[in-house]
Amino acid sequence: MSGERRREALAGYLFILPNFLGFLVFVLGPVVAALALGFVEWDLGPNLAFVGLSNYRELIMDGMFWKYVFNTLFLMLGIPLGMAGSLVLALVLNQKIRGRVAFRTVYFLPTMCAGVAIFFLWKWILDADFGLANQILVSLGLNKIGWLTTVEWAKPSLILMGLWGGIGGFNMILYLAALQNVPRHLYEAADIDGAGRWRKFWNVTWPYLTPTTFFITIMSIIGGLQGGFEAAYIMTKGGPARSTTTISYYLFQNIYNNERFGYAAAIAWALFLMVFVFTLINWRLGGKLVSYD
Amino acid sequence: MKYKVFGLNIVTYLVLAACGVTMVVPFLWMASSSLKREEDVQKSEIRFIPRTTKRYVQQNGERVEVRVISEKVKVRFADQTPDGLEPVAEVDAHLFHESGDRSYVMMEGRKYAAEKLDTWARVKTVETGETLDGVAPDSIEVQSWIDPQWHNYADAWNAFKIDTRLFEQLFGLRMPVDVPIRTGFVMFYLNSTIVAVCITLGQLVTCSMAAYAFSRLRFPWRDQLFFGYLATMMIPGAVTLVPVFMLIKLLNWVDTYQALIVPGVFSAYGTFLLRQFFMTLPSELEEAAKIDGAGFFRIYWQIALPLSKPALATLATFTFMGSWRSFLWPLLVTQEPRMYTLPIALQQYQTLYTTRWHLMMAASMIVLIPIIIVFLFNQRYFVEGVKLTGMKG
Repeated sequence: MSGERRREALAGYLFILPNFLGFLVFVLGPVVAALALGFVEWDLGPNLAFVGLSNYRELIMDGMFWKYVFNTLFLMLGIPLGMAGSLVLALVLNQKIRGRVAFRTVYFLPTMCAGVAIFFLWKWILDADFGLANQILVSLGLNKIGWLTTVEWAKPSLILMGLWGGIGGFNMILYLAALQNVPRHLYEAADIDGAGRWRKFWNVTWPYLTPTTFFITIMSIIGGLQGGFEAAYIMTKGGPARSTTTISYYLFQNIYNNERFGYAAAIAWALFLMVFVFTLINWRLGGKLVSYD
Repeated sequence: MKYKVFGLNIVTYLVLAACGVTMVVPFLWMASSSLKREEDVQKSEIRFIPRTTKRYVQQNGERVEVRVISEKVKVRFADQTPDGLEPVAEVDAHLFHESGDRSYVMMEGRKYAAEKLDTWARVKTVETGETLDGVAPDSIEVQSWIDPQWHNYADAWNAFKIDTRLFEQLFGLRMPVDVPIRTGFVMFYLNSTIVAVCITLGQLVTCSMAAYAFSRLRFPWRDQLFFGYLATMMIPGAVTLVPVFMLIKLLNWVDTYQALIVPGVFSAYGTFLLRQFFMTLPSELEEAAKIDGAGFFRIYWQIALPLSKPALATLATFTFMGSWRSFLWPLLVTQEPRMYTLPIALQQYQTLYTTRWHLMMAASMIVLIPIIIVFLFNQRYFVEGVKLTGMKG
């Protein structure tokens, strides 16, 4: 290597050094360690036992695990609803309206404030005795509902809360940006051809939205599979009757409460497998349905 | 519908407004609850404005404050009498209804026509606890006024007490001069800020340097290493969570700032985002600088970085926001209250206050208000940032 090339290579390595070291210790190293962990039973104490595939076998037979998988998937039912809602809002906001920025700001507020405080707020709103939701029901002459205290309503409540928090947020902004890229002259051409509103949407707008929809779908599914921990921990502690425990909550329990690090690693890898499979499915489907220009 | 308001037909506008209201009402409810008294918060009627209601009766020529225990109505049933009651009986006042010229008693979902004969209340004086019977409801004076309980905020702020010294906690050394901190929220805000700022700065520096190298410098294995970064981005955080947590425990880093900050600095996303951005920068400026004899670091520092302000700003914003809100990781690595970040501390208020929702809402407002203020002043910034990340993805 010439002197100059050598200097460039050296610079390259030095530049990436801090980042790469950290990456090795806190990202790549742990991934490899997690692989190994899946095959042991350990609590960081002196009892480290190599158990082969027994963690994974236990996981497959673990009835609770599959219940939590069901919970996680159920909670993800809100994803298509949220996307549709965000799209509708974006379509409406895309027009020339007075106060458009004000609307966009207000809609983004729940997403901006997301976190423990919002979960408290909703726990209070959905309070079975004095929460706002039940107060509204009572004032309409209906019976109170145990939003977070009954098995039938716990997951739907979380889905509703998720819709409230997500509909005006990132997805809506992404759709707004995509809508602004649709060339105006196509709409004019469609008008000349006498196309109605639905036609215009389906044939002109929608093709320009498919890449964004694809992106949002993948990110939402990846996020949805890993989510649900914070809401469950703060609002329901996974109940009632474990109906709001998700995969990530189960993972937390095995780290924090049971200290079964080997089993926790196995759960994490199962989660990875699910994310991988879903992403693959999405990719295949998306390839056929998405149009790029 | 052909009517246009503000350039839109009225139906669409109503829908937009309805959505806006739905977004805002929960926040209003939170503010309203935070300003109520405990009794006021436990009501079944919807009331947004915090009110205090006091009732008085005349006792021995003096006005005395009372609480109403029960109100009863003596009725004579006109046609049918409910089971277990006499034709002339005493019922709770809230069961008796008068509408127009008809009056009835509602029991077990059925209406029984009845005539009101007499009515009285049983009250209890607030000061002495004395019970008074046979008080005419008309003689009870009701005073009600709008009364926000601002002190709820002070109560919530002071409720969580810790005992620590500022510099000793930050640097781990006994200092001769130190600042004692007793109020939890002060430390929680400090902790969240310190952690978020350090993580953001750390990411900005390390990720931009690595991104510059991956995009502009040539060295052996460059692309394979970068592919390694990409590959790990597909792996859920849950996988690395377990080993990193175990590492923290092994290093004895529980309840330290290092544990909160260091793992958060190294993310593949930041490097990926910045590298993609660097790739779009025109190389003419760098070529010119190289001809002028500038070293790699100078090119990075004086050319690449200034040109990347939008991408850096976006990364900084999202990293800061993410760190501020982070819950699971601080939950795992902090045990002592003095090390709590805001989300963890707020969660602890739940055990502190259980069902005292007015105080819970005050504490939540204390945590949320800075975020809302920052957002309202910078909202365009956040929105542009979302578009930037979304389009690159």
